Amino acid sequence: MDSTSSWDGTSGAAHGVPVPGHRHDSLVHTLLDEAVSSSPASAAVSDAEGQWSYARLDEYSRAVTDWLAAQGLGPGDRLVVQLPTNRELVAMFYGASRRGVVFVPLNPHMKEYHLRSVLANAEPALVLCAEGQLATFNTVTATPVHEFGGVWSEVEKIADRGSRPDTAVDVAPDQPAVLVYTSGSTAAPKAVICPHAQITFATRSMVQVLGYRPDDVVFCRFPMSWDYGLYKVLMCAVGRSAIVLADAESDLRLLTAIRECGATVVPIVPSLAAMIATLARRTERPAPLVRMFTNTGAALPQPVIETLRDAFPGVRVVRQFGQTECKRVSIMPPDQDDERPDSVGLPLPGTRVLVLGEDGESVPVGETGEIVAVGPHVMPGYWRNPEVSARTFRRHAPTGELRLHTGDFGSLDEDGYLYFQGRRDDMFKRKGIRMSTLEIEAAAMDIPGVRAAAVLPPSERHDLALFVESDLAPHAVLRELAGRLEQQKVPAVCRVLSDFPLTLHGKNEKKQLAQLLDGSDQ
Amino acid sequence: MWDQKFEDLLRGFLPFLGADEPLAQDTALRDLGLDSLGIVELLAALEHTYQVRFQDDALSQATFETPGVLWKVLSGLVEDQAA
Repeated sequence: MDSTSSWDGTSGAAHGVPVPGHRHDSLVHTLLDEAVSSSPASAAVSDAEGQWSYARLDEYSRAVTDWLAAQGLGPGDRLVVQLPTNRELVAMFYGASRRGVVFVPLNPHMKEYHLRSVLANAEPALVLCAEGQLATFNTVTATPVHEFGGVWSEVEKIADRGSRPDTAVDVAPDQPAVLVYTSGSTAAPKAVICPHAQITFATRSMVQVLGYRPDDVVFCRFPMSWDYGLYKVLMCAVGRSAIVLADAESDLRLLTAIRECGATVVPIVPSLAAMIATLARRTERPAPLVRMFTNTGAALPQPVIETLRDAFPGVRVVRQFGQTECKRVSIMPPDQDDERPDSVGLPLPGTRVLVLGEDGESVPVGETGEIVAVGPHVMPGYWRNPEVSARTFRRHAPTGELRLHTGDFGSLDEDGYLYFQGRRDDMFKRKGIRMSTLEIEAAAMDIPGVRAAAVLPPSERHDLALFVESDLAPHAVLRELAGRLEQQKVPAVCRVLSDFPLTLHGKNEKKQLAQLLDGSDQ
Repeated sequence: MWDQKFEDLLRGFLPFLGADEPLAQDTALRDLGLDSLGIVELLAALEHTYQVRFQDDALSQATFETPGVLWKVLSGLVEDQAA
C-alpha cells in the first residue's frame, strides 16, 4: 500500500466497483429522464401542497422549458430564482436544464445587502421572485423580474395544452447547469460553477455509497439554494426515490412530519439533528421507518448520535464531508457508521483525496496537511472570479488534473479513511453552513455607527461572537446585522468595546478578544 | 400578563433583546433572534418547567410568534393540567 497520504477511492475495498450508470454525457435532466422512463408513476416529489409522480414532474419541467424559450432565454443565460423550495422549483430546475439555462437558486433569506452584489455578479437574463419581493429586486437590478405566481399560471397553461418539443436544446456536459452562491473568503458571496458532468457524476457516486432505493422516502428540510438540498432532489431521481420537501412550518412537528410521510432517509446537519433529538426525548413514538440519517456541515456531538440511535432503533447515522466546490469529498459507508468515530469516511467512489504538506507533496500516513480533492467531481472554478479560482482550483502540471485545494486540514489513516481537523483561515461552519469572519465583519461595518468590528468563530468555549467599537447597544447591532445577513450568520453574542485592538485581523488581538469573552462568560 | 419564570426563560432565547428593554406582548419573537432550533429548545424548556405537554395542534410557528400568544397557549395548558 502507498505509504503516503493519497487515497484512490477507486481502489478501496469498499469502493472497488466503477460507478454504475455513469456516462460522461450525463446531463442534469437525463437523471429525470431515466427516472421517468423506468418509474413514471412513482412518487417523485411532494411538498405541503401535494405530490407529483415522475411523469407529472417531467410534464411541468418541459412546460418550464417552453416558457423559458418564450421569454427568449437560451443556453448559457442565467435564471436567478429566490423562491421557496417546493415542487414547482424542482420543475424549474429540470426545465432550465433542458433549455441549457443556468439555474441560480438564491437563499430566500438573502437580504438586499448581498442581493445587489450577487445580481451584479450573476448578470441574469431573468429573475423570479416570491410574491411581494418585486419592489426589493427592482431597487437592486435592472434585469426583468417576475413574481412567481403569474409565471406559474403561464407554465400550467403550457402544461395543459402540451409543451412544444422543439424548445429543448442540445447541452454539452461541460456547460454550467447551476451557480451555487456560497460564503467564503470574500466579503460578498461568490458562485461555484457547477457543470452538468460534475453534478451528475457526484450525484451517482453519492447514491452508490448511500444506497438510495425505490422504496426510500427522503425527508429534506434544506432549500435548493443550498447544494445539500439541490443534490437530494437529483439523488432521489437516480434512486427512483421520493423526496419530501419540508419547510420551517414543520419544525415543531418534525417527528410527526417524518412519521406521517413515511420517511426512511433524513439528511441532517448538527442543528437539525439537535432539534430531532430534543423532540425525540419528549415523545414515545418517534418515526420507526427511518433507516438512515446522513449528516454534513460539522461533526455531530456524540450525545446527539446516541439519542438518535435510541429513538430510531437500528438507524445508521452516516458521516459525510465536503464542500460545494466538489460537492462531496468523503462518506463513511453506512454499514460502518459505528467504526472509526473520528473519521469522515472514504473518498467518494471514482475520486481521490490527497493530503499535502506545505511543499505540495503528500505527507506520510497519519500526518496532517491540506485536504485536496481530485476527480470528476471537482468543479471548474468560481463564476467571474479568476483570482480566487486560481488559488483554490489548481492545475497539477505533471498530470494535468485540476485539484481542489479545500483549505481544510486533516489526515488519512493506513486504510484511506479521512480525518478532518480544522481550517487555518477565517472560514468556519455554523448551523451547517459555511461563512467567514470577513463577511460578518464587513456587514457589521456597514451598520451606521459601527466604527470597528471583529468576529470570533464559534469554538468549544463560546458561540459565534462579535466585537464592535460603537455607541450602539449590543442587541441593536445584532438586530441591524440580522437585516443584512442570513440568520445563521448573526452572532449569538455582541460586545461593545470602547478601546478596540488596533489591528483587527492580527492573531494576537483575536486571542485577547477570545480571553475577554471566555473570561467573562465563565 | 405572564409570570417572572416565563419572562426569564423566554429572554434566554432572545439574543437581540437588550436586558433593559421591556418584552412586549406583541413583539415578533423571530425579530428578537428566536430561530428554529431556539423554538424547539424553548418548547422543551417550557414543557419541563411547567410540566405540561404541547399537543401537535399547538406545535405551529404561530404559537411561537409573540410572547402574548405563547403565554396564552401555555397558561391554557397549565389550567387544563390543574383542572
